Amino acid sequence: MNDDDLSVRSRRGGLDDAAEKRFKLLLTSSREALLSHRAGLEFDAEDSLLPGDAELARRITDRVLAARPRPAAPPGRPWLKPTLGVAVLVGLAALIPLSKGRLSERPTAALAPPSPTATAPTSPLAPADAREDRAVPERGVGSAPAATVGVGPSSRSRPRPTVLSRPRSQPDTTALDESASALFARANRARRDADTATAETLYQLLQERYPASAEAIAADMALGLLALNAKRAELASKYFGSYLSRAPDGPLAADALWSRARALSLLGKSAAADESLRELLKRYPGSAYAGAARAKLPRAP
Amino acid sequence: MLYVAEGRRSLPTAEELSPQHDELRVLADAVIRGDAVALRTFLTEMVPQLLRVVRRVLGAGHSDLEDITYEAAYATVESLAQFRGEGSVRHFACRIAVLTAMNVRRREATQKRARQREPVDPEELRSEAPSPEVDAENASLAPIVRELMLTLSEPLAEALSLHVILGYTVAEIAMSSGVGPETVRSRLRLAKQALRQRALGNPSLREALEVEP
Repeated sequence: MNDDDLSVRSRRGGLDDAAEKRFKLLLTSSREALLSHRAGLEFDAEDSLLPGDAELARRITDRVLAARPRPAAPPGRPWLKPTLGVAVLVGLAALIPLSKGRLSERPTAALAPPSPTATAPTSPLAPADAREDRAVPERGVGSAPAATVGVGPSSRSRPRPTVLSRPRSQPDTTALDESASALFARANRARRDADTATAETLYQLLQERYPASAEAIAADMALGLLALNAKRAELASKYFGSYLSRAPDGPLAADALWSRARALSLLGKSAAADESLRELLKRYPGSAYAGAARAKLPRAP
Repeated sequence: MLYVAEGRRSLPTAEELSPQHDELRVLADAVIRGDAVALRTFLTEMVPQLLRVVRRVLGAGHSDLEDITYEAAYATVESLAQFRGEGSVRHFACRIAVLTAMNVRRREATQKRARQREPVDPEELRSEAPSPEVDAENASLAPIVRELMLTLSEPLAEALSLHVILGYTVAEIAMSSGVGPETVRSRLRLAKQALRQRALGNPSLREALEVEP
């Protein structure tokens, strides 16, 4: 067994006594081996199923199925039988948000046909130059993040953050039947393209048209981050607080707690910021922010 | 109706990655033939693992995990016809997820440089914390590995990712990458040297690791 594989086998728990001994010697004699092994252990420790992963995986699966071209029916034999199950599943899933009559726990129209302008992703196995040149795929329907779990009851009123003081740009909002997920996708694209004014307008439009949707809840996080970037810490804090009140156990809750702490810190509200960090550590001790949160909190005397 | 597929909750072992034990091969062949039911079963089986791979590469705080995992899953299905049996289907798919996520990181870094923005922007805020500096103080190597993937050449970055992030052996990397084991060892040696330089260049991290340079 070569030295590189000792680390891998150790991580998998498959070293015998002799190999274990040899591995320990390697770790004391090779800085590279020690560092790469420790890094590997960190990645292993990070690897866990998170709340909402099942729903997220299901949504991704549905998006891929919706984007794939339908196979041609074999001649002389209807293909209803193998696809009927899929069609029933798709139809039932699409009905779920309508039948519940309350806060949707999944983006609507996630199973709709892809946008005509959608570009399917290209494989990373394509030649490198083709990979570099490929257009960023349109992330159309169903591109909302996994903000679908832990949504509070519909009777909980949503705090209304301060209206943005910046003049709004006028993005195309004429498609009144645009779904929540499509609006959210457009807003995300604008944000990624650094068109923050359009992104803000679209997120707010989403929240006005579909206030109870999962996308509207996630938009609180996006708006908060945009506000924080613009140094509007008070507004950012309210958006993060809005997210946490609507989805206290949502998959972005750790992000919201961390970001709220940053906003409060910018406002000079250090006690409140520390409280947010403590809540983060208490509820998400293994999150990506935990180490940074501990570093920021004052040490006990 | 679904093909029978066992749930997976951990990265595969070496035995499960061997071609003789590839329980997904039959399913993949059916997907290539256009079997819609097989496709759904395949995705149901693989997408959770691809999600975890993408999360490992990009970090749990990345804002586009869903979209990028979708890209990886779609690319996997598109690429199945190219699978030549080197390693397992699962291994093949995970490599695609790593490459997809790496492409995203490189694209984001390019866009960031092009925008010439301050470090504080919505995307950055999500992935900024914990910052490499903060994590250095806490002796965290994962963010350093992620940053290193942006500066290494693609072959080195791929080898380092598959080895350190996903925990693949030299043989597994060689099979999936289509190169010989000696090439893989050479790439890993260079990548690990770069990791050492980056990590131990930080006095706090060096002290925390209790390692002399």
